[in-house]
Amino acid sequence: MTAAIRPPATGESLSIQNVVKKFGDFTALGGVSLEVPAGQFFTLLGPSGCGKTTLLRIIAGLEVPTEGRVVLMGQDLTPLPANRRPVNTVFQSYALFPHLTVRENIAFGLKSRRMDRLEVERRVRYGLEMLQLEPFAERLPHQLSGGQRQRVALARALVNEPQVLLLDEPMSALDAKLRAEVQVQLRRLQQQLGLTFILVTHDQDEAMAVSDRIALMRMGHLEQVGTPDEVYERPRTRYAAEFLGAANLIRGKRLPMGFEAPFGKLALGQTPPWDEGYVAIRPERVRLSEVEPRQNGLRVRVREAVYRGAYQEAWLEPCDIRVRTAPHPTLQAGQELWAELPVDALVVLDE
Amino acid sequence: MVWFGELTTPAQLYRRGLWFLLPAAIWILGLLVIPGLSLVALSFAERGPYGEVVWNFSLENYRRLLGYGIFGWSPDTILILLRSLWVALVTTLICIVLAYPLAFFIASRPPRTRYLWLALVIIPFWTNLVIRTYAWQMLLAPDFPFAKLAQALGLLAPDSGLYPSPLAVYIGMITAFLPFVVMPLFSSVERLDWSLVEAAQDLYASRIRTFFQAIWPQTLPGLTVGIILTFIPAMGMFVIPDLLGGAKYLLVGNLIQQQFYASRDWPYGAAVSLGLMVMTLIGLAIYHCRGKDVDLV
Repeated sequence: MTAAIRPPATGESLSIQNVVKKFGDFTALGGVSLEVPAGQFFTLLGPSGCGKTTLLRIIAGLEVPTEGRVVLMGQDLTPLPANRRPVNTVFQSYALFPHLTVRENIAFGLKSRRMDRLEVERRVRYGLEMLQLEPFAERLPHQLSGGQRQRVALARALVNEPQVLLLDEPMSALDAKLRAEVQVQLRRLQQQLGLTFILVTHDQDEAMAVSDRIALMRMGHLEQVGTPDEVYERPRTRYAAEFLGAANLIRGKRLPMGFEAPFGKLALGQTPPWDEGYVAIRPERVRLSEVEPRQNGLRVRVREAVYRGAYQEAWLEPCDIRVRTAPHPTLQAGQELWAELPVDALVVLDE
Repeated sequence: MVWFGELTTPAQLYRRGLWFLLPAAIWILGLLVIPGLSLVALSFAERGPYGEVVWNFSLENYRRLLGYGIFGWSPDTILILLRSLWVALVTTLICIVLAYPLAFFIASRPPRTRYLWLALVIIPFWTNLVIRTYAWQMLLAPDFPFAKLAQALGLLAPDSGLYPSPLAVYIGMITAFLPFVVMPLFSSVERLDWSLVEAAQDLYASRIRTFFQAIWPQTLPGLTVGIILTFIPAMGMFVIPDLLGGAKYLLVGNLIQQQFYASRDWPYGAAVSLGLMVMTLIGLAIYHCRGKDVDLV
């Protein structure tokens, strides 16, 4: 495919500095600070109302922060209106101009900047080609499918060569199958262009599939920032553990060596910072066996087992732990066996 | 076929459907088609010595419409027609320019006060147009503040009023028609998709470009209704120019009115009416054709 418009920038970054946003009495963002290195696919993840879209709109310049600054490559963007920021947005509704053709939509930003006619043509052609939109160039938005519209929105933003591309839930209007395809394409596009992408989503699978780094948000604060595997494997809080995938949360007390769970003593890889709190373990990290494991073994009975094709899921008692294992051998309710909670799979949470 | 439990045929249904069209058909026939055709017939007749209609076929009225009179050609009638066109266009244009900010202002109010503002736009309609126009006569009279101010600024001779004058006609026309543009425009503005405005901003558009690319196209349906509701009646308006324009500022509406009343020359009045109708239709046709490249839906 076509080469990147611009060599990928390195090192320079987008910096969000202590951004606060209040709407009347409601605090949408309560002091968020973030560094996004250039060329990263960065995702703001969280449930609706967590402030992720507000943060994105503040970066775009569509919302003015109550406090704090947005700095891009050393330049303070905060006082600049949206139309003077070197960032572009793919809107959730795509916001294509209904009276303009695909070609005119893609040219919109270039014409706003009074770019030379030949350069506009060159870039529009490039955008159409990059997103396989040539056959639809002369159509109006209402004559396109959802996936095509989304590609037009992407092309319209990318031909401007923004330093940061902002994506506001761009896949929420697509069906599940197309969404999975688009995620892969989006990731590939980002790597080819070497651009900084900031994606807003509430879908943790999507966040994991595309991101270099994820910022998990909760009620206007950053809960945890890290690579997808860091956030998944080493959640720091109950909220993080439960929002990304399924987790068994075990409440107990700290012991001089390990942890006192309701169902017995467990060895831990690290010393908890609290006297009483939670450790977490992912269902797929629990190991089942017929023989007693050397460490952290529990004698359990299968309360309920569900066959799911690619894997099976079971709830164990008396410890109330959920397990996810290979589908064979099939577990039966009432079956007794040993469960191992490996030391390296037990994550000590901050609370 | 079965229609609401009754065995019938499409032809029967069709015939029955015609009966339902009858009231509307009678209405249109009686109030539009017959008077219209009478007007056409009348326009080819002649005026008798006592103002009666003499049914001789003649093109004399149309010759007069084009300016040929007893004393040779004069541009008076054509001037009046063009002046009417001009006044209607300027009135419509100024109404549009005034209505945009007003519609946006009202649409941006919180829902509770929004309809209060809208009511303020409509309330003048509860007063008859003639009475409102007389009110303007008084407001623009020599000893009222507006005229006093103009006199003080030297724009007006001492002790003279702002009426009768073309300005008074424009003021009367614009205040009379403004609500007809504001109302449909407001309904378009209220349903505006603001994400397009944000997209335009995001794509480096200036304020002017944002307005013309992201807002204007979305308001076209309301604007079209407003233009039609203003331009057509403004073309034929005679109350306002009659009361505020004085004898020197005749519009075609006054000309027609004169023929049917003072001059008792119905055939010529009919010809002028048809001339006005043709001009209005041409104006609408031009607007319609030019609007073709814009999606009005």
